[in-house]
Amino acid sequence: MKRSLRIYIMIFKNTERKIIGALALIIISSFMFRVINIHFPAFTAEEARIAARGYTLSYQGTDELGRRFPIIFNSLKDYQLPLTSYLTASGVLIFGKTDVGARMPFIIIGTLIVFLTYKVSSYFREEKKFRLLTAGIMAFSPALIFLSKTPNESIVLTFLLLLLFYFLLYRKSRMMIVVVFILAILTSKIAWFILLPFLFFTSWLLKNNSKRFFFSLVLLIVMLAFFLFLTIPQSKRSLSENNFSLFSNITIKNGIDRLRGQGIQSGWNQFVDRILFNKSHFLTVGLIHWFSHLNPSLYFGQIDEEGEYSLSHLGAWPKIFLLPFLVGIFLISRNGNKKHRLFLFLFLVLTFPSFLIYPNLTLDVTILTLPFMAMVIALGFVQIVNWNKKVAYAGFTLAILELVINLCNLSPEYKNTNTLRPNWIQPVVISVFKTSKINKTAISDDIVSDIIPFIDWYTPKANEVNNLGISWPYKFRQYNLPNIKIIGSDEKFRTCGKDEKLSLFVSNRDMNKVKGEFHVQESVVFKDNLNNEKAYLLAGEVCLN
Amino acid sequence: MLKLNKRHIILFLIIILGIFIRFYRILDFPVQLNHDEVSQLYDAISIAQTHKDVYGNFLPSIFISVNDYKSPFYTYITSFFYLIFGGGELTIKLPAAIFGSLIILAVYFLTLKLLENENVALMSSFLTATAPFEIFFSRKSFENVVGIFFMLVGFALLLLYVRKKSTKFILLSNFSLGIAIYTYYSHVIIIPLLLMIFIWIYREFFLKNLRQILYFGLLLILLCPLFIIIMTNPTARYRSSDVFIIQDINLGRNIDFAKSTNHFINFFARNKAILDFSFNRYLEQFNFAFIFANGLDFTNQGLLGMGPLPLMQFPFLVLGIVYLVKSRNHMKEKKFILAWIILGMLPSGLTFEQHSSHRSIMVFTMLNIISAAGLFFFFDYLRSVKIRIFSYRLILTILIFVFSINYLYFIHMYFVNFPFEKSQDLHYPFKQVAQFAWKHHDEFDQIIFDPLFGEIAPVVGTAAHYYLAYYGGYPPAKFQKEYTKGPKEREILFDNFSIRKIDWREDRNLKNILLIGSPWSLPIDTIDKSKIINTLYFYNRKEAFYAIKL
Repeated sequence: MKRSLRIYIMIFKNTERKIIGALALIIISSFMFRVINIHFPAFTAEEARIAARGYTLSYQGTDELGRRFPIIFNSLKDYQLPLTSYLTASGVLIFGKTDVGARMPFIIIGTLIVFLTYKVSSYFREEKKFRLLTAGIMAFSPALIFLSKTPNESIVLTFLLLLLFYFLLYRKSRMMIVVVFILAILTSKIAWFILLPFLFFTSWLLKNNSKRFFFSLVLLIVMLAFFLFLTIPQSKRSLSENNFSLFSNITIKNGIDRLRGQGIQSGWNQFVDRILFNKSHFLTVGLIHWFSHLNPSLYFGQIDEEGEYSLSHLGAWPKIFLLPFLVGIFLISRNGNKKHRLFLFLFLVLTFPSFLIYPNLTLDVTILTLPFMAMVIALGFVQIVNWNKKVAYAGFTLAILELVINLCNLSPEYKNTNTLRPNWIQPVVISVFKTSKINKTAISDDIVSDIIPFIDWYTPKANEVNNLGISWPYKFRQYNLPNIKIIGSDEKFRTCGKDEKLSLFVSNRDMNKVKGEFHVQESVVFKDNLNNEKAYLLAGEVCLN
Repeated sequence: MLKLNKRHIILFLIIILGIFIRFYRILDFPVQLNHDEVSQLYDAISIAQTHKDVYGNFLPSIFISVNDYKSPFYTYITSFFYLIFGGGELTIKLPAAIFGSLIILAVYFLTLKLLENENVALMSSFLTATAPFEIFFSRKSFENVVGIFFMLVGFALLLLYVRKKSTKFILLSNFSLGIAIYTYYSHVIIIPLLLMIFIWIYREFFLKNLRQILYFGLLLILLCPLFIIIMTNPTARYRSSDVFIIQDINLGRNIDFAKSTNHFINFFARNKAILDFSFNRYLEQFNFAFIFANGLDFTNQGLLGMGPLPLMQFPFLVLGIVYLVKSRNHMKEKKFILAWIILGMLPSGLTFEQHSSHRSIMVFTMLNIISAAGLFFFFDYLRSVKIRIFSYRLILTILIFVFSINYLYFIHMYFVNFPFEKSQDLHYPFKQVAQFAWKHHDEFDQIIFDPLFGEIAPVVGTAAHYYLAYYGGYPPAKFQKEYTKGPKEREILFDNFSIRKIDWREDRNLKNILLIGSPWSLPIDTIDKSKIINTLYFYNRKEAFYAIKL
């Protein structure tokens, strides 16, 4: 121990080396935080779909619907853009069909974000200690750690926007910047809305001479993306439902009509009522909704109650970081130059798409702001260090402690995400897979909300998929598995014939149906994280009509 | 002798405007006395006439009311108003409306002491006079309006004391803060905490004048009865535990998820769950949508509502924060403003409701002061850049227009949409039910009223006995004697009234009875239409209650 410490001191005895050593330590620890307990968090159905798709893409060259190397993928929410799926495929190709394979590309990206933040924080201060602190803060963001462990678009887009900021800040070659633009366009539709204002604002902020060139280019690329996308069937529906839902949401129009109608009913002048309640309220609602994304409770309280974007009882940052953040804002407002003060508007630019997406919060855009927020927190921390070192160190220790406590006691998290991230489904689908090799097998479709991605991902070898002939699948729910029958709600049961043998994995819904008609005994019961019975194996007595 | 100048005249006009907005058709809007108002009014009449509340408790220090254990000040002050103005509905409205108007002056006074800028003080008094939350709470007899007034005056006097070092100011301040504590439960915690922070901020002054701290003894003396009440009366603690965050169903679920077989882990995880949840709830109070869009809960239309502060005030609030941050003056006062906001959100952040604007009034009041600083900063900037007079006037005109539209929107929301959308929250039409019941009082052996009602989902309306007693002009002394709890579910009896759950299968066989119930308790489609002698409606004309003659 002492020897290794001596070696460490010898290597890092000058300041420069110390900085490199500290940075390496931060990056390694951020990597470790992401790698330890790699099976957590369990996948949602969408993440399992991407993971399973990564496998089919890398080993068969097709997606889960049998299409060869497509550029638009299926999900139950929206069309999915390709970069995330192909990144997952690269991980699975290298590490195999394992959690490491599906998660590793995102773990690497999550770790690189920490390093990139170190680089771009020079925007505020050149001092390396400050930059180290920023990287350290990034390394311990619960939301970023969480998102680095699952296949998702948010972490990739955060990385690419940060990379763009870095390239613009350090005046890197135009070619590299263009490549990043294109990658961002291929990551998420949110990028199509952000890239233009982000580039415009950032180039202006950083006084980049090539801003006209970039602006024209991005305008062209974004327009091209929209144009090509609009040639796809259901594209208008996709945009309307997912990106312009403010205008398609009927509750706002109904609300305007109702409030105006009440005025007319009460004898108010119709003209005044029209002035007060009209379509401009769409903009007001959009604006309020947009600004609600900068709610401190999202950042420091609870970013996502459901547990999709982070640990469900934590904000994007540990609670204690609220204080340095406020100090940071205070310092920027008070002492910062124009360049620093304008930086705060970057938060509005990055969250802009939420203006158009109503009524749910678009947490993806909140995630995009985190690296930039880390710099503000770091500014505050430096000030606190100047005031009282012990308090600052205690604060940082507390932040790490909060994170560690939450990561060590995951039982409440598993219970809270029982439905969204059903890790208990793994033994069910493995059992289904094993049984399907021996008998005909059927499984209820409501054990979890979308069972097939879990079967595809958790079973050792994916089922060979024939092309279903669906070129542009939009919110397509899969029901096609070669050896396994999916039981829908309208399925009827009967007693099996003499030589018939069917293994049934039924949910409570179907179990109640079966019990109403037959005398059966389940051979295996599967329970969820709340210890509720979720699935039953019925072997050989009951068959499907 | 105070010399009148232009600013005083403007302040006077602002106060007149504030009084007008607070009193204009106050008996018509809100469209009915809510359950808090009617219970406090009838208790006040009872106190004035018999020195007992309606349950026969002699000069109670806490009013049981509708089992929500109300703080005493507002009821007692209403008793005083009753002696002057009689028992009309206006009597319960007057204290809040008067103190709500006086708050304009108090805000002016406090701002002047905090920031020592007459223009900012004037602007803050204007914003207070026209603030949606001030108007809303002043017109609905909310007791905290009185509390906030005394709190503002108390701290303004304290600031004056620090500047002028005159003993009378600290004595008056203590007296004022003492009253404030008696008006609203959360002030019991908030005011002493704020006072401690005040002393800490001005510690140099107080250290130099250590003997002066002894004057805070007056406050302690004033608070003695309150402490005795809290220590000796378990019901006093019931109220705080009843609304505490631990009652939140989501927190309950989180605690349940955190359970462990290990005693230590269980203890730790439970408290961690409470801490996580409370911290988030607290921060949630600073939600933009809550403050500027729908915090007053006027409508059921999501973000199409009204916040405690008008939306157009937001840019000036931001400018005000920037102005205060950048300014190098009044450092101590700014620390106090910050403490005021941080502490002021605690009551709302630690209760079971996700948002409760009525618990955060003190914060919104301070946000008005900051916005006023922002307005001043904005005009100061315009003057400093020396824009042309035409541009200046144009900007001013646009501002006035935009603010006017925003205030017109608020007026529409308050006078039109709020009654339409939320009349149920005011227990509408309990007043009409009471008046109808009394009209037919002598025709029936018994009148049974089931207060289960609702437009979308059923809720049991509280204070039905108060509505019946008050609107029937029933003598409190007689009510105290007759009030009993009956054997049936939720049954309260007095005179020939029975307020209880209707069980139609049994009650249909009663004779010479008037049944008043909602569609939630009566199978209205199966009842002979000739028996339905009246239908009582919500404000939006949806059916609320049916009167059935048996």
